[in-house]
This record gives sequence, structure tokens and C-alpha cells, in this order.
Amino acid sequence: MEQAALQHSVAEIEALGATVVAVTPEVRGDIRTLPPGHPFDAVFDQTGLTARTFPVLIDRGNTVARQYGLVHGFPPALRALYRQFGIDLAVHNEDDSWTLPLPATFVIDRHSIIQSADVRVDYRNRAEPTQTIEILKQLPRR
Amino acid sequence: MTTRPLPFPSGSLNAALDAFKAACARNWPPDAFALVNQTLADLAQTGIQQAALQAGHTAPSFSLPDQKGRLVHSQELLAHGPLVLVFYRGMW
Repeated sequence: MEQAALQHSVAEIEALGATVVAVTPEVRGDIRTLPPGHPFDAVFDQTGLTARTFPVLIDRGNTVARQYGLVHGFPPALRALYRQFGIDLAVHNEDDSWTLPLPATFVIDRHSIIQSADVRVDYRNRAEPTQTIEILKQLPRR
Repeated sequence: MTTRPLPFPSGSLNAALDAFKAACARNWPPDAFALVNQTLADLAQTGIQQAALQAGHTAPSFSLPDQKGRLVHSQELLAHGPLVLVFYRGMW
């Protein structure tokens, strides 16, 4: 859903002179695990491999996410639950470490200084793109 | 590129996510939902959120391949203006 919302907002973000990139440890973005009729089906046509107009970068093994302090592991019980749902991160990420980044949105200025950091421990909520746009509007021009 | 309508109102991503979470709470086996909640509570206790990079820190530069294998360099993007860098777990 977040990726669909980002795609919806990307034109407005680019109009402010900024670039959007998404970074994920998921190497095999082509594998779908959701059952037919899942609520997220409606957003997949807006977030598939070709639907997003901004770059989706593959951070194999979470190397970059680690530098941003975002990487965490999975307790065995949760691994088992994910597998029960048909999600094997070792397959999706081609990485058997079962690590993921916290969802996070950083607004970085052209001098490489982080101007805002929205980091979520609970992955079930995300930075609101309209909020990101407001932050970009507040940035000094230089 | 036309912007197709979102399946939820613009500006309400988190409202849509909250609704999805509530649906999971109703539809999942209670044990499964409790396990996810407990894991997230434990994760919060580790202090990972406080340890992540914050506003005012210098953003590490990176070069990563896109889905077609082309390398994208953060420094080249930043030469053009601000960068919105979004980490996500995966589409699964």
C-alpha cells in the first residue's frame, strides 16, 4: 500500500525538485505469495515490477539498511508463522539470514544531511507521503 | 504517465493501514496476531528505533542496482536535489 501511495505522490515530489528511491532486500520481487482476493491485490497492479516510475533498488543482504541502523532479525516462532503464510524470506531475499529493515523514510538534503527520519518499529504503519511532501516544501532551497 | 486512483483516499495511507491491521486482528488466529504484536514489542525494547540514523546525521552514500540491474548512485541523485529514501521490507 505504501508503494502505491508513493507512486501516487511521486509527481508532486519530483515537482519539488526531489527524487524518490525505494530500497528493499527483496531480490525476487516477482514472486507473489498472497492468496487470490487478498485485500492487497488491489494495490499490486500499481506496485508491480513495471508499475512504479521511481527506482526500486535491491539491497541484497540489507547492506545499506544496516548502515542506516534499520536491520533486525526474526525469532524462530515468527519465522515459522511467516512460512505458514507461504512467505520464506530466504527465498524472496536470496539470503538465509532472515533479516529485514525497519520501514523508514529519510528526507536527505543535497548536502547529504538527513533532514527528517521516519522510522517505524511497527511495520504496519508507514510515513505518510503527504507528510513527506510537507517536509520537502519546508527545506531551504540550497 | 497518468496517475491512477489509489484504492484508498490520498493522504490517508495510515488510515488504510490501520483498517488492514484491524481486519488482521479479526481474521487471523489470535495466537498468530499476538505473536506478531509480542515480537514488535520486543523489537521496540531493543532500542533499534533510537539507534537508527536521525535528522541531523549524515546520510551514508550508496550504490545499488535497480530491478533491471543498473547501478544507481545516491551521490548522483543528490546532485540534482533532495532525496526521499524509502526502505521497505518487500512486496511478497
